[in-house]
Amino acid sequence: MYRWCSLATLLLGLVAGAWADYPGVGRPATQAELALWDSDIGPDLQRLPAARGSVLEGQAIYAAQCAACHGDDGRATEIFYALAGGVTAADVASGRVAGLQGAEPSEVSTFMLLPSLTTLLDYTARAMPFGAGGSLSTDEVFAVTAYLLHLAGVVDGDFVLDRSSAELAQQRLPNRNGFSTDHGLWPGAAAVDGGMGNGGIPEPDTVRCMADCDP
Amino acid sequence: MTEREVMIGTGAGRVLPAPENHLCDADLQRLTLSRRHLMGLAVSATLAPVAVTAAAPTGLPGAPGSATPPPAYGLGQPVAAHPYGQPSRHQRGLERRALKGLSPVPQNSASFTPLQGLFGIITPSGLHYERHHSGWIDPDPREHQLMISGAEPALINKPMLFSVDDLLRLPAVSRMHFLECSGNTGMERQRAVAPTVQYSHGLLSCSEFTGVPLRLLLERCGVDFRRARYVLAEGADAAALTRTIPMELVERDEVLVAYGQNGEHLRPENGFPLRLVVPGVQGVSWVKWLRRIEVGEAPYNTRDEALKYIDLMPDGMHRQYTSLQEVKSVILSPSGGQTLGSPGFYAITGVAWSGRGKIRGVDVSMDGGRSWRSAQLTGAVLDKCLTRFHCDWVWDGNEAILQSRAVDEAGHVQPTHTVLRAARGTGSIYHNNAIQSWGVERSGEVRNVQVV
Ligand code: HEC
Repeated sequence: MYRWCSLATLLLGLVAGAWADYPGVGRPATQAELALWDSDIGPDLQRLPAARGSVLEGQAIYAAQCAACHGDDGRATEIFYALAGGVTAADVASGRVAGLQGAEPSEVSTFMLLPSLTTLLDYTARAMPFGAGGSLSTDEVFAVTAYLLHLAGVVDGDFVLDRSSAELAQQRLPNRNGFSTDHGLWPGAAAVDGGMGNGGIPEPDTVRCMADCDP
Repeated sequence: MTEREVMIGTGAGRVLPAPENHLCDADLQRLTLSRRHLMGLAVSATLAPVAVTAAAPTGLPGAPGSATPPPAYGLGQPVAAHPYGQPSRHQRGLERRALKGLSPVPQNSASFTPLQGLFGIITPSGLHYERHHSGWIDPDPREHQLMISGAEPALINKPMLFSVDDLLRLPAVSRMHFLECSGNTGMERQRAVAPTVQYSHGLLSCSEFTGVPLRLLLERCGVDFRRARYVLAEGADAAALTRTIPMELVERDEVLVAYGQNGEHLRPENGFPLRLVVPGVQGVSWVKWLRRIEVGEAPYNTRDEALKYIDLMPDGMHRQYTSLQEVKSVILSPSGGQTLGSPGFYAITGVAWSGRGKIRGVDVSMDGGRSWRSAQLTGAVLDKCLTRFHCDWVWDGNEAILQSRAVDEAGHVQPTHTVLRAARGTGSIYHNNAIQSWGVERSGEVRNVQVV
């Protein structure tokens, strides 16, 4: 009997397997398509594209393609919050921006938050200039990012951003140590199981009081 | 006698809608035009316009004091006069309203669902809230494609492209889920701000979504589920918005690549032709105009999970990848901006939801949280979906503070502002799930207040 059951299960499995193949649905992507579509600069500094750009080159690109909305110096404009500003040499040293405590969102610049250089490269490449994302070459993205790093006081004026210098810039980002994933709002595996967060521990843990409660 | 008094004098137990719920720009215009005909009535265009609509019908058949029966209206409109139907013209004011001030760029903004005027749990697709980072688009479904790829070749055996048509051929599932922006109620994090529930809680909607489980597509592409524990979803809009979601939700078959919403195709504002459905998780992860899924070994640290949608804590640290929408509820009627006509019976009604599963119960307080009564859950109680609640109330004409408090099946209890602030401070505009209070004044006016 047991044997029959398992045989039946096996047969069912085969049928289901064949069905699950869905012949004719979708097609393999070609190498060219993969290269064209893969727009993200992943989170891994070690795997940056082989591109380079200097602060000076970036300054020209910024003036032509960014300043209209983000201002000459990356301070707040009526279009968007400040890109640069609000960080001190002490922040660069510690990796924690002191000015974040009690700050209003409108007073917080991009560099007061930025945890990772790849975040900036990835976003600029795909979404900026606003409405014309993807129009900059990778070298231009590196150059304008180098210029923003300089505006924010992270690197000197002769800095050139490429694979080899990226780590240095990363190690000087003013808020690189300002992030935590120790919370209960990540719906995937917890940190103890190789994921992130505490697995959903309630915070705050409120009591369901029904009478004579403290409101 | 003011217009407002005229209104309050009619009918016990009536809830007068908030002005902006009731009036569209054309109404306001009409109001100005007709003002000269309202002899002897003190009209304030901001406070009393509601009355104009109600005051007008007094001469009509069927109105109180009229001797004639309700009218025969004569012949109506022909079939298919509106090939795609429209709401009654008497409901014109019930519409999405834009958030002014989030950003001066209207493509990078949000609009709110008029929760105060909705019944049950489903949001009509045309009233679904909007949040776009670079404006909404309407891609041609014959050209739109979904790519499934890997951060590196070893993570995926066969990267593939699917047309919309391909996805429509696969076995579909339909599920009802809420969708809430993590910035919903963010304005209230320090004090009561929004005049009505549309503005305080309207970045919330609920729909039936139809689509294909993402797991099925990833399996078809031969994803190495052992190594690829994170999924990046990317939209085709100018923002090319990207978010990381955990593979666990995909493996549990919760994540859908959806093309349907409330029985029809997605609306362009909601991601036509394809959007990701990530039940229980904040709206930004439900990537619209979905064009690419990449599997990877680490979270992606993208702009909308590293510079935005991060939660500032009192010590200046930011919490990253805060994705779940926690247990929350709100009373929709009576709510801010509405007016109770006179003492008497009222049905308190609202919605509750949780990103951790089903709603277990909702309690309602009429005294600002000192005592609570269990509300009745009316209709379906579904996983990660709005749940409607109801509670009888006889208003005695005195001041009252109405609150609702939800409990989910994980046992989490919706916190008060005081408790939430003690734990997380007031710096984060995201993930505010505190108990909402509506203060009822002796005049019957209902206002957004906070009990702290
Ligand atoms: C037409 C106006 C416009 C131009 C030109 C423009 N930007 Fe932006 N930028 C915006 C807007 C609007 C946003 C906010 C978008 C959003 O919130 O989704 C933004 C956001 C950004 C951000 C994200 C900041 C953060 O803290 O989230 C960066 C970085 C940025 N822009 C860099 C650039 C660079 C570099 C250029 C030039 C190559 C550029 N922008 C050109 C309008 C513009």
